[in-house]
Amino acid sequence: MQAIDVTLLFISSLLTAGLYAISSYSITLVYGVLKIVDVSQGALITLGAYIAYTLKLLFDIDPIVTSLIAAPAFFAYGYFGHYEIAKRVLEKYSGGRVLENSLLLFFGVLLAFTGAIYLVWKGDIKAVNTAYTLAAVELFGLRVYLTRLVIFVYAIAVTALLIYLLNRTYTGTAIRAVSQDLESSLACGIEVERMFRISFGIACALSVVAGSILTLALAFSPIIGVEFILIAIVVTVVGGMGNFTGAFLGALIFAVVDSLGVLIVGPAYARVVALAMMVVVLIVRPQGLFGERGRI
Amino acid sequence: MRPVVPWRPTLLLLAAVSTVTLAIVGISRVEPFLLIFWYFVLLYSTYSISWNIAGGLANLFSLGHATFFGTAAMSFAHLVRMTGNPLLSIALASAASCLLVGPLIPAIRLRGPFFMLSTYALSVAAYFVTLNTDWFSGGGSGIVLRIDPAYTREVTVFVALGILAAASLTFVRLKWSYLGIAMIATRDDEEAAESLGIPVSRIKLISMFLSALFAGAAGALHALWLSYVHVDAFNTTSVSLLAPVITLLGGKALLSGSYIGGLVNAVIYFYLAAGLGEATLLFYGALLGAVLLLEPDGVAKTLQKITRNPVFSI
Amino acid sequence: MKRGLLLGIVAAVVVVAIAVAFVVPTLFVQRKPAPQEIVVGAVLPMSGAFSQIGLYFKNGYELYFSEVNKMGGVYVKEFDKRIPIRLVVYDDESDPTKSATQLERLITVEKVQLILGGYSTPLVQAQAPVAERYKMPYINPGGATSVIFLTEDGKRRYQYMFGLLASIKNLALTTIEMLKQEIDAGKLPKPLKIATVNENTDHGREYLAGLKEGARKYPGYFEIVYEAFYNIGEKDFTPILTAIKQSGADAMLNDMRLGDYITMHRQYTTLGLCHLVVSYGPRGPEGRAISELGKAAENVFGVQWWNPADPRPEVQEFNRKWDAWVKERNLNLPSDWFAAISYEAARTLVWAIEKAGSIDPDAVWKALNTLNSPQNGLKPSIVVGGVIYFPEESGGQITNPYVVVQVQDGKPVIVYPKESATGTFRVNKC
Repeated sequence: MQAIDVTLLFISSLLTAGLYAISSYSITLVYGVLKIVDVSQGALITLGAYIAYTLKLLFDIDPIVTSLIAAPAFFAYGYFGHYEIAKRVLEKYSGGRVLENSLLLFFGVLLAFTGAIYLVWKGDIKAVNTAYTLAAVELFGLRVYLTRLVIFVYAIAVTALLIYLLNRTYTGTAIRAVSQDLESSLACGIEVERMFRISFGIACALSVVAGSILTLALAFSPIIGVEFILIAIVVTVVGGMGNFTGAFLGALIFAVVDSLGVLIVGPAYARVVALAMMVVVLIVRPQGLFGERGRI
Repeated sequence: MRPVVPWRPTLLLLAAVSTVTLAIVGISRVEPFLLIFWYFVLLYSTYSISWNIAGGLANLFSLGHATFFGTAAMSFAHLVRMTGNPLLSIALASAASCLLVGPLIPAIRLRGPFFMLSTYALSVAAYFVTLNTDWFSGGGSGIVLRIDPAYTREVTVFVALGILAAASLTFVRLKWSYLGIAMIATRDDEEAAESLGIPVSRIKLISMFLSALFAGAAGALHALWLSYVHVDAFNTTSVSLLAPVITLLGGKALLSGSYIGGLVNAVIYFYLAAGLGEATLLFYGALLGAVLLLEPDGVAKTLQKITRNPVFSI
Repeated sequence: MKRGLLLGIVAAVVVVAIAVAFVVPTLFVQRKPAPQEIVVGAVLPMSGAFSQIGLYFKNGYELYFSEVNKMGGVYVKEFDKRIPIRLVVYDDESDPTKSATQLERLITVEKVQLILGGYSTPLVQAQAPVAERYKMPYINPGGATSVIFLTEDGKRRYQYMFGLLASIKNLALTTIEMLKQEIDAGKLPKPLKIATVNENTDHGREYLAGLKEGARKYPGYFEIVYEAFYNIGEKDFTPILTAIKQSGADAMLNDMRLGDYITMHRQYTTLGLCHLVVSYGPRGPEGRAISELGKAAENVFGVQWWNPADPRPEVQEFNRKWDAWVKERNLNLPSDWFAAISYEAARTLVWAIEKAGSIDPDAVWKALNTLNSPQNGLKPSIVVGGVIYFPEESGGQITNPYVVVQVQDGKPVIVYPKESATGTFRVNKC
């Protein structure tokens, strides 16, 4: 294999990592704060994609713009709506059962949402075409998809925004406190439930943003979210559950392993390699490569 | 002290199912569809029992049961070609699917959700590997099987009944054995069980093997019924996730729960799915959610509270 | 213990009572001399990945049936009257595991008298054993892989299978024939270096086998320098495209389904790849592809079972009928082989009923078996070659010719064979 083409593959996959990173932030956040795994965020990713598609089709709105419109809308949904689901689980179960049953419950929600999307938009593969869909950009002497570059830049912006929110605002600090020590946070007078709601709001907003911008680069069907959430889980497990920088680095590692996997074992088995990596990390270092228990 | 195995309610349940089977085989002369419907009830019940052995008795929630179902289905395709004997092929294929427990061995000692994720990962991996190993799976097209014409619909239903009986007896025998009680102890508090000298890992492993065995039997049986295998037997949403949904719905850790789950699922599949069409996924998801929130112990438990019949407690 | 036994007996009695309720009414309903209508069943992918084509097939069948019903119905000699014909469709959700069961339900629950085929090789393969078991003739406009028709040792696989689409191997061979002509005319280099990417299905494998057979047939003309398989629904073709670039191929001949073709060709264009000839097997000049790929689709060619640009008058007549039909129903389905071949399938079934003089599946089957060669075939027909027949040697699969269609100036143009051509083949400048 020529060196240039390996590099192209490498860079191409790094850019895709941006997409994986954004889609994993939502479950990272929810897990960090509430200690439950909300896989139904995958459905919101799918929904984001279809909303972007529909708005482009009907009003010729660019997916990036859609993501900016959808984010606050879904923040509200997460705050008032999605949190209610989690609330039921937390109330019904306690101790070790919470984690398992929350996973199953959210799987149910994921299925239900996906089913609803099938009903509305049908199952065939859709794609979004913008003026710059086919454009390429010269980067270090290589031709690279412009759309992937855009996604990567967007992902960095989102990451920076999140880090700012979490470290420099009161709310962010409160959320981090809750994720580290629930009881002390309560004792300090932090409105824990409000923090939970805000976390869900942010998570849902993140998912729908990820969904909207993925349409720039990929064709999709109603199960796109399920595929992404699986990747998101691998990324968070590898990077560290509940740790944003870990998630970002995990996404990079995943993307690189995935594309190297393609080179070594072929496109079909590449995903298997990545999955195997997740299991290995689970066994060897369950808190993830960069994770520490309870830290965002 | 040996636990008393509740054979009577079990045999009663099996006798009831057998009677119904016989009746249906008789009526099927006039109404052939009933036979098809009943086959699916038996199939889903067996599949549910297989999941129940791991998920119900040992708290090993598998989100990847398609791995075993699919492996056995594919193996059956090749075995039946080599041996020409469907029954033997079912047995061997079931054993083959046990091999797939191997990759899960290191993951067995993980906590609940991480174990679940590992099984899910295995299921997805198995799907891709199988899809790309075309000599094994026929790639995207599947493999058509040539089955001895002696295996009519009626005969296959009786084979299904036999497998269901074997699964049921295994389940009950297991639940009321030293192993089964140890599993309950493990389920409630793993660390305490360990400290009592209970070989937790070994117990979990045995449950997983038995679970895989019967999931495999279900997979091979279905390959026999369809005379066709396709890599979609490894499909995560339609096959893997089906197992916990129907079992939780019917009743975790209860034999009658699996039967109810199987029956309900067959009804959904035949009578609702046509009307629901694309909403089927929505329906299953909503169902799972409803069960987890309303009656986590399943319909069988509710029936037990109402009727207080021993059949619903095994 | 006694309560349990009692419960068991009560349950058994209830079951038997239900059973009796099922049986008794059927004993009283006498079979009328002539049925009110002929009910034909089909299991089609009305949802899921193939839903678009499922919709085409449903409308193709219904269009023909509506024409027949305008004349009062199908003339059945056994009852000496015209009986209206109706289609019942079950959805298999593009899922092969559901497909077989749905067909079995159709036959046992709806009690359809006859059936028509589904779409896409795995779904047809799943349905085939059911049709065979119930001894229902299966007219198949949707599965072309020869695996459906022949066993590994070349014998006929299903007695009840009748295929209206020629095999994929022939599709590949037609491509080879056409390219050989271009090589001989000096328009393409000799040997022509080929890169080929195929879907990981029997369809894709058969295409590759066909290419290789063609290459063997004409030594020195063709050299396959890169071959790869991919999984349907693949989103990222960058690695494969990188490898193709490196292989130094002059021609790219793939076998991919529509969605994947569009995804890959987009990435192909973005990465700045170029080949003298580009084909995606049966894909290339579809309306949707042209609209989604725009200029990128220029000079891509596909080898098809049928194309609406075919100048024959009966084809144009069909296009008019089809366009009127879909317009009436507000459907965005431009005329395509899915429409034409399903229409012909329905027509073949009705012809067989009329020839047999009966709706008994066995009689219909015998009638279909008489169409065993082009001389004994059903003509005229809008299929390429003008005649429908099901030879024994190919396992009941028609062996009619293909047309090669190329996108020129944004429109599909037939470039081969000469008899059906409306333009000449163009080579890309790279």
